[in-house]
Amino acid sequence: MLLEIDDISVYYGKIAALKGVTVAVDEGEIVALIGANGAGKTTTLKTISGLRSVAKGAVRLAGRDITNVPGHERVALGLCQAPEGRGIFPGLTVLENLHMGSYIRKGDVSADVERVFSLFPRLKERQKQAGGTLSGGEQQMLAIGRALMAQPKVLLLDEPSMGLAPKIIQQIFEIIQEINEQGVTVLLVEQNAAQALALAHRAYVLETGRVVRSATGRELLNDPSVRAAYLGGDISH
Amino acid sequence: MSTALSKGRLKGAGSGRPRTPVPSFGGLPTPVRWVVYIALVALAAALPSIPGVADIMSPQNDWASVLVFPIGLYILMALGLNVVVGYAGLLDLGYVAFFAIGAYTGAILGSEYGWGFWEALPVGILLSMIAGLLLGTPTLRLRGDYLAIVTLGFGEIIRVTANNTDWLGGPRGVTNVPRPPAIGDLTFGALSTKPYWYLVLGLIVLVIIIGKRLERSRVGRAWAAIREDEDAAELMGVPTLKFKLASFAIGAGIAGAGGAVYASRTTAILPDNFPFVLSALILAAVVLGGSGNIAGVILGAFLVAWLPERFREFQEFRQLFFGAALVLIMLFRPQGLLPNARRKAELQEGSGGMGTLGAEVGAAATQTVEVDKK
Amino acid sequence: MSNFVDLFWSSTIDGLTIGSIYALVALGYTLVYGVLRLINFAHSEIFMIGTFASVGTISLFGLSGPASGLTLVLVLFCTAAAGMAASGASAVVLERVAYRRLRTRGSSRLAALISAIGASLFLQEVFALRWSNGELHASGRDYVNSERVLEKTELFSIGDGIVRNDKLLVFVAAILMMIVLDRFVNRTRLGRGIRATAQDSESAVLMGVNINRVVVLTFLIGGAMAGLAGALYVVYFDQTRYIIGFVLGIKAFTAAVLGGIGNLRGALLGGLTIGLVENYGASIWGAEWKDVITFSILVLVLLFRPNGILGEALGRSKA
Repeated sequence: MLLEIDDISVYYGKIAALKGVTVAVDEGEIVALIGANGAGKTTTLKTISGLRSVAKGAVRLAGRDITNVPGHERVALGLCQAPEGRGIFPGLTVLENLHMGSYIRKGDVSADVERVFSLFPRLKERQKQAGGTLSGGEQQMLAIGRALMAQPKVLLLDEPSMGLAPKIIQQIFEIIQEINEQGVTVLLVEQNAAQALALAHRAYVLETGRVVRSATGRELLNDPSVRAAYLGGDISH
Repeated sequence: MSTALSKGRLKGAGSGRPRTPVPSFGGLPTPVRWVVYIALVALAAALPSIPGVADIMSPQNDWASVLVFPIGLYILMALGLNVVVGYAGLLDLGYVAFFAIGAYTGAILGSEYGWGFWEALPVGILLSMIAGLLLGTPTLRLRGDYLAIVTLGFGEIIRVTANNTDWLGGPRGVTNVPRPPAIGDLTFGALSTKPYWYLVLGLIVLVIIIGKRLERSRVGRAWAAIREDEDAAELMGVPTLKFKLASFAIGAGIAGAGGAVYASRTTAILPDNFPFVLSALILAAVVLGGSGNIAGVILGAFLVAWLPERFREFQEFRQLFFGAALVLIMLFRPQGLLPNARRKAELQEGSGGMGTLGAEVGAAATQTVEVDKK
Repeated sequence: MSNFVDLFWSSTIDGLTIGSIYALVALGYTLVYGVLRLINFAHSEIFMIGTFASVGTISLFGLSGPASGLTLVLVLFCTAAAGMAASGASAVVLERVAYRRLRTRGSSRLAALISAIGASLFLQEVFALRWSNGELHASGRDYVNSERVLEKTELFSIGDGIVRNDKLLVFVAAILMMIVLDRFVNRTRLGRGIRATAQDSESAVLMGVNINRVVVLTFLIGGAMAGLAGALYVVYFDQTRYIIGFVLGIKAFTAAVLGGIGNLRGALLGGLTIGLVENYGASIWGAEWKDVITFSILVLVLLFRPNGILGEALGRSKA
């Protein structure tokens, strides 16, 4: 397994946000975490990136225990995240935002910039514009592009569809698939379960800080209880 | 952040629970507690008269004088600042300004217009409160740390203005301030200082009673809400500006009363009696003792006032010492020596005033767009 | 008002000179506030340390009168370098001792500000300590005079104002340094890291930015700028004092707020504005009202334009 989250518990004060979550991601996969608001999806991703400290359990990347590695050092090890709410630097230009993605790398990054621009031509048009002036969809493209600039082994995406129009969501998910086909492993957190399950090889269902189901995306998509809980009931029956 | 908030609420929910540092004392029946309170006040009143105490507490100076100033007036001011900092969570760095306004009002009315102390005192309190409202109305809308700097500026404006204004005596200040008239056998005099202590003690007791009542009232709960999360309080319909103004005015009035007493005790005041450092020392007293807890604040003020008096060789280093103490307390015991239980919980979760510091943990990304113009 | 007209040019020249010192000190407030949203109350003492380091360095040369030629350049360079080094290092130590623990534990910002006030009082008093008769006393309350480095000569005059070499030096050095800093923050990778951290610290961590290092760098740069301001102050006024930072610090903070705290160019604009306004005001109402004028500006700015003239560009807005 490339990325292993082994039985982790995370607390906010005395309140447990994660109560022993175990998730594994293999090289080349797209894995989705789905669940309702407050289930612990975002906390899981923040913990993987080192923004939250772990009370119990371990996080391993390519077999190495990184539980106590500070967040900023995990980028160099191959983890990069496009966070919830996109986390664009509003006062930096699009190009500067992309350069922040390659902050830890030395040397010429122009080839990577070109690669991001070929994935997201819109960003090329706006490269001199401040990040804060972009539309929601463009900001999401920028967040993903910026994370790619770090050349991650595992790309962590937190709610890439949040607040976007259906057409843009479609476009974003196609690009995620394309990125995966180019060889990047993806761990995706989504509330938009239907789209996520259709895209993911495997998926985990989180409920109040625990994993309650895990299976392939297709299997979960056809599971009546999952459909009832996360896909707005069984309408295609 | 929201989890931290709800935790704070949970702690506060048991409002019937004693907040005193010694829970067993709060559990005593009310009459017993009143007996203890009265005994404490009686003991305090007897402090300058008990034989032997003066030799231990103040071998070099008249013990009753030291009790009046700095000890008594520091305690009074610390209790007043506690209403602002401890209850409402507002950082006022210019608190000495209100002390100065009370002192100058008492001094000018007394020496220029022949008013007696008891007539001048309420005017001094009133003017200080008005100054508090005048300063507070525009500035209390500001963010917490901006407020701190503006109040600091205000303190300096008052001092420099007194220094530059002829009818306030300029740098030479005001002299010949009348002492309070004798009450029965109690004559207020340069050497007869015990009556001053009874006066200050009376004010302290009054302020404690007012403070306790306010803390337990609707106003006190509104202050706690403002302190913990001003935005949430505003959203829940608490008129935050009104309550902040109230704390500011009450704190100012208490300092004003202290100032009027100070002027009549020393009978001469100078602008240099009201430096920024005095504001900082009073703040140190509140924070050292335990912001929000009356017993703690009294202890803090006592230590800040008494230690340099008792250890004269130490007096020249007192700012050095209290500066370092402020840093160390914030680092290792932000709740103070005798903490208020609720304040302690707030400080631990970073909700006690002005939100959390810290870039890495929990700094929320804002959606607000500010473009860096090239 | 006639004084204002009569003294217009000399007020302008004095205002720009002292204003550029305010601007350099304002940078430290602005940088730290932008990244941590903390008013580094002890920054005024960082400036004060710079002035003492400068006075000490000048005395090391044992000049027997104003220097000239290469000696002058050497002395000025060493003084500036010493001021910057001492202040920069002190600022880093200050962050480590007084703030780091509060920051990593997510303490309330009230606690941090009180810690800052404590550090400020402590540092002032440290510089009032003197050895006398083998004993330590806090007796150094008077001005410490420095030997004059630069012979103050008239260069040219504009109207009633006389441009002197020391004033021009202060102004030019401050402006040059601010251009360098502006380039650093806007054009380099580290500068980009600082701006990114100021705008969204969590995202910055996700990009691999070491926040602690950025914070230390911020204090170092802000401190060094205050140190340069201290050196220029000593060259200009030939003296310093343990409490010198207090009022100057508030003015510099006012400058930072006026320009838009968190905004580097705003600090320059704010500093020069404060310098000019207080000198114009002094020409009308008298020099003894200078401080009242500045503090009144602070109150007015915060009331009517709390984000400053240029807005809070480096930092986030209200969190």
